[in-house]
Amino acid sequence: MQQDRLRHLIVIVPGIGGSVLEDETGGVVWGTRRGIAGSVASPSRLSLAERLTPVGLIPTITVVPGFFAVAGYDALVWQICTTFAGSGGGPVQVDVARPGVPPHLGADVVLFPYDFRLGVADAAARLGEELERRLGGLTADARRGRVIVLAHSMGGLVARHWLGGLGGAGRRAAEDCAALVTIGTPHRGAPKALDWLVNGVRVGPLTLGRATELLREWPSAYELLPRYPAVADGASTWLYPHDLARVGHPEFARRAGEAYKLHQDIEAAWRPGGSGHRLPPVLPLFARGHRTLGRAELTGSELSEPKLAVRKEDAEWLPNPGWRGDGTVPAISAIPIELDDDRRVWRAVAERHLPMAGSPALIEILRDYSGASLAAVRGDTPERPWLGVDLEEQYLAGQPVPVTVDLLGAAASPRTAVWVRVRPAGTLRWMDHRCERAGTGWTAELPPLATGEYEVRVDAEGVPEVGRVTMSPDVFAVVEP
Amino acid sequence: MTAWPPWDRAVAPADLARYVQRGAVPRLLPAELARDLPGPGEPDLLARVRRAYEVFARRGIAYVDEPTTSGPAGQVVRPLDQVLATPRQGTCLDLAVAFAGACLDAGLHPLIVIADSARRGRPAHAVVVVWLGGGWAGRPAAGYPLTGAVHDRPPADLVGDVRAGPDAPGSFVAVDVARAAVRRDRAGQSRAGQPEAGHGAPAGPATWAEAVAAGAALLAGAPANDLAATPATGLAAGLAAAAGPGWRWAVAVDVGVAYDEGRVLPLLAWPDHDILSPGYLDAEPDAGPLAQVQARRNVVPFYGRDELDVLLEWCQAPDPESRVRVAIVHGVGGAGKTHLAAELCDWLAADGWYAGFLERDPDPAHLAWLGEIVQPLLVVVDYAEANKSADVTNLLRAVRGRTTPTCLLLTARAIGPWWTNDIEADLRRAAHQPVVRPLPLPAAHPRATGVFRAALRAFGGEPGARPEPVAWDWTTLDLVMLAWLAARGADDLPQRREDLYREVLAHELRYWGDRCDRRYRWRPTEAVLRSSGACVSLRGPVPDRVMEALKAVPGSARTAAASWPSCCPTCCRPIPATTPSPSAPTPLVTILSCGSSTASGWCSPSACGTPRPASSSGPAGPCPAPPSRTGR
Repeated sequence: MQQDRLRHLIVIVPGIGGSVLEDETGGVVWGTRRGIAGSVASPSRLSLAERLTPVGLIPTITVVPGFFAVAGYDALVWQICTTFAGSGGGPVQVDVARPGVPPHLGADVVLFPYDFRLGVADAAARLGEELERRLGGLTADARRGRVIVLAHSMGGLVARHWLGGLGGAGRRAAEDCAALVTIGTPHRGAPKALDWLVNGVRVGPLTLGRATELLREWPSAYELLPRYPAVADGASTWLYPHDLARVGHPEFARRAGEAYKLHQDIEAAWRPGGSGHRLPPVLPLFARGHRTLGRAELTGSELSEPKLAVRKEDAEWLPNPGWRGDGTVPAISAIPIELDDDRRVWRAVAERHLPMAGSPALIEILRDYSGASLAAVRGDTPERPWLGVDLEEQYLAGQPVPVTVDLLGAAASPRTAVWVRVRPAGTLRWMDHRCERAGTGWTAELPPLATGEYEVRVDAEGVPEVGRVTMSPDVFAVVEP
Repeated sequence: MTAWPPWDRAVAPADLARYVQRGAVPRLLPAELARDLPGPGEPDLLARVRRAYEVFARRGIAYVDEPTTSGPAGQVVRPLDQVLATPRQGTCLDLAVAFAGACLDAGLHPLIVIADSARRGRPAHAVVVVWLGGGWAGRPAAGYPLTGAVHDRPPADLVGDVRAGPDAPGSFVAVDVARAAVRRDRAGQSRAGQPEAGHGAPAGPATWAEAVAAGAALLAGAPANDLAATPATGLAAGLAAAAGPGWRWAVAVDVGVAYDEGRVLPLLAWPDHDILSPGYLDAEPDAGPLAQVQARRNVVPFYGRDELDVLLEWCQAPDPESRVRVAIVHGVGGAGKTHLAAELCDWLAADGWYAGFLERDPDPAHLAWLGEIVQPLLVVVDYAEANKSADVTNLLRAVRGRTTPTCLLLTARAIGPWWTNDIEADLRRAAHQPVVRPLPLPAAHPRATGVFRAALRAFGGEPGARPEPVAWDWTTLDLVMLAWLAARGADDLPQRREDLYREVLAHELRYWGDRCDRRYRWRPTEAVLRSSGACVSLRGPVPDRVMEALKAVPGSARTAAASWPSCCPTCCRPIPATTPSPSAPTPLVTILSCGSSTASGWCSPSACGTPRPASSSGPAGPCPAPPSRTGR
């Protein structure tokens, strides 16, 4: 089988929590080197006071114990390596950009781990330095348009910051880059960050105290806050996160304000003419249809302590109600502001937020850029029907696990059957649960599961016209109360 | 050459993809099946797989066990035409390879999985696994979860995600394509039932659901290596225990990955029709008397005789030198040569042989193709003395290099110059020494009463309630015709052969008169029927020759006979060698010997050629006056 050669240097920028971090002794503080099993997180060492080194990307979707689920990037790298040949005609060469380690200049794919605690600007500066190390020896012609950035979640903000010339990258960054693909990037923030920073990281009714404390310390967590008036205060007042004075911890409003400023800087740079030079095209991958935290509301009377309620509903005062999102980032947030009206470059996919990092659509885009395919479809809906799935990252042991499924882009027939498929992570065979019809969708209540990490998939069979619709594997964890 | 090199799964497993053909399946199927094949535009991938399977199931492919040539050198894989066109036979591997081609045509991504039986000595089995997560357009679609062309161990992403049934979830569907084939039983019947114990051999054709369940069961019996290494959770342990013990994963060849257009083995021309017709032909409802008594119509079942056992053993006896075997069954007309040959074909075809009667004047290219047929071969040349020496010599040249069992069965009234002067001499010139076995067939069946009663029952009569023939020198065919008359209610059966033939012929002419009357509202005279019947019998097998001959028939006879090519028993059926049948010369000889004015002067050599029966076969069999018989 003839493989197309990669023509670009592919740079993969992960999302928050997607990098493996080591301390100065070489001990892994965040992540794992051995796949899903064996994930570690040392809460006491994730404080900003600790100096940590990014050494690699998390391989597979993982629920970091005591924290939250993070994406994995092996699937994407593996697909690139099996689909393409390297620029030299041999196997694709993959290199990890580690601080202090000389770069492999023949690499076709560069994995760019970064210390995600520190925030967008810090990572963007390092990204600029890293690419300069790799491209500095090339002629101006050779490095022009040499790079394609695949940036997942927060990584998209990092790449936009770098390309926008902020932090001194200047015109060169934009000239180096042929395209930026953002994958579920919260360009306008995510109410989930608001919920976690204000109300804490939770599993069911429980709050994960240490994880919440750390998040409140990290600048990056605030940079994921909505940069729009996301909070309803009464019937006709909508507040920005930094307007919230009466909820959250004392520093919340100030730090939210700083993060808002960062977003404004990025948006200003990307506004036509904003950076003073031509910027590369941005192809935003996003998903819709999965129930996503989207509606925040201040509750409570004047006499009682106000509370922030964040629910999996779209905010009626925002555009495109009903679109939902990818389970983490609302669909409307995953499109950069300057592309609001340019649906030609929107790329709707079916995957939820974490599996989106391995979406086959990314391979189609790379094929586009290698000149091999015209298959990639642009637009505001996926090219095929897809499943919207409501699923949490973590559940409590001993409790049933409810899953809600919606079929989108197609009408069900009486023959349509929906299955939730679960297996302990790392094992082979799926445990199948047939969903029951509930309203316009389906629900299943999985029996209480033992503690551990589980892969989950949803398949709909017997869908008219297309037959089968599936949701890419995602992960949840079952934890002790 | 149409033969392909054997596939050596140990040395070059990925080469299996070289046998997979794109674009050939539709060309090998009749139009009504080809149009039901799925196309790559159909969005439902599972529906595509199902449609392809159901087309295969409707094709009437015979399942054969692994050919004897499969051995240490590798597994013989039949070219696709032998599986889907003619002789439409295949092993599980042949069917899997053919199906994989249909999958590629349909834009599906197939793998061929080979599993060894866990029981020592049992053959391996092959199934096709198709990915349902995306299509195939010259290469795997984005998101395809497997990598590599060959999987010596079961990939977890595959084995853990094979659907248990067509409606169950799963990203892969395993199809036991062999179940689309049928085990051909004797007398052209398919046998339904359970697969052979210990082997996933088909008895189908199975339904789609059955084929999918069988495929899943096979893979469930081949648990992935990593299953044992998984944590002993209740789920994994339970699944490990549920895995069947019947099969061990041997290898999977990912056709969607390994397929390389430039390395595909060539598929050369194949005959556009079966050049061997099966021993027994389809029954003919509302047939005339002469058609009913024809041996190959199988209205009267074969009545056992030792010569069948002799021939079966002889054909199947092992021969390390793989020499071609030629049996010459000779005896008078009506002795039962054709029925014996048809029965032999039926037995051997049920055992997986490609067996049948050779058409007249076969295309040399088709004979060469016959020489490359993978399975054991039995070719019957009926009436070998009737100007067929060239057919036989060409055939012998074409098959002499075969390594699978190869038998020719020649039937003739006698071994004469057609053999000694023509064929034997050619064999000497070609230094070809096949094993030759003459087998004389006595005119009278050793169990004459049994033959008569069996025939009587076959025609709907009740033995004991009808008269029985007087003891005389009846041939097997005579007894069958007597039984037909008895079943028709005759109170007295003829006692001499000429009376028998006269009476049967009278029924035959009456039958055709009735047919003509029904069709044209015109009943020809008996003289006209005799004239036209004689002509048709003379040139019977080739309709255009019949029409040529009829130009010389006086007007009314021509009109009558003109309807015969569409309805007479000797010219319009797919019978390659009916002339001369034992009864066919009767109208001819009757007319000629009667000096009928109707017939005089019309049978010119330019129109008809030299009558074959009289010139080449020696005694012409049952004529008004019984001739002397050879072979007695």
